[in-house]
Amino acid sequence: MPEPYSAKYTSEYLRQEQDIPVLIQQVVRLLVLNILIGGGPALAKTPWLKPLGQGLWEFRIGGSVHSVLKRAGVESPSRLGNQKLLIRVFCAFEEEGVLLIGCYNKLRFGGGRPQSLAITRARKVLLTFREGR
Amino acid sequence: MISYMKTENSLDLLTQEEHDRELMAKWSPEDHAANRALTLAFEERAQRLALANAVKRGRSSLQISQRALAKLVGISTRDVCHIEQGKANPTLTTQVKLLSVLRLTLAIEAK
Repeated sequence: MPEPYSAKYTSEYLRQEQDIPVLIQQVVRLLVLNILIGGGPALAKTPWLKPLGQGLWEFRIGGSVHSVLKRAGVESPSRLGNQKLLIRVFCAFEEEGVLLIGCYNKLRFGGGRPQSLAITRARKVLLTFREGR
Repeated sequence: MISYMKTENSLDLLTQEEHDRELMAKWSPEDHAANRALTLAFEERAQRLALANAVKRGRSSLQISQRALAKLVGISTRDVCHIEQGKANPTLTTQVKLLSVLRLTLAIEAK
């Protein structure tokens, strides 16, 4: 088995993540750990990841909690709520590991212009990271 | 408070541990309990995938088909297929039989 990637989180990612309901935080955190970081760039061949260009990727989490967990091959624990979630995690696979840049709540903020702005901001953060090496 | 890893151009970065500590700081005891249950479900998935990889590698090194392995273990070819896909939850007896045929053994390790 390949070694799992390490991860680095931006403070903005954490701030956005803290803004979503706790159950969704838990689901997103475990999906990021087990699917995104565990899978690494090989995940690019799956519907989990969408390329946004210039090394920026979108980790796509959407549906009900149960359906998302089922898709990840995880049996939902009993008494777990079944909220809807639509999260876009903006990330990049860098030498240092997976860089978690943004955690966009598409269910709350919608697609279109707000999402485009979030992607633009994520691109700038990635550029800043690369320039700062 | 956590110490951020700063790059030269002041981009604040957190390690996994720092991120988890900050995120979980505001969770209630009930939230932590729910997270433990969810974490266990993911660990169970990881164990299933580890078994799937071990069976695939073992079968490949013995150069036998799924059908031949199924026959040797006494389960269906479909079961072998599901185990290799990480979709099945075989009993301990089936796991031991499978691994024995593949000349492997189960080991329990501390985390």
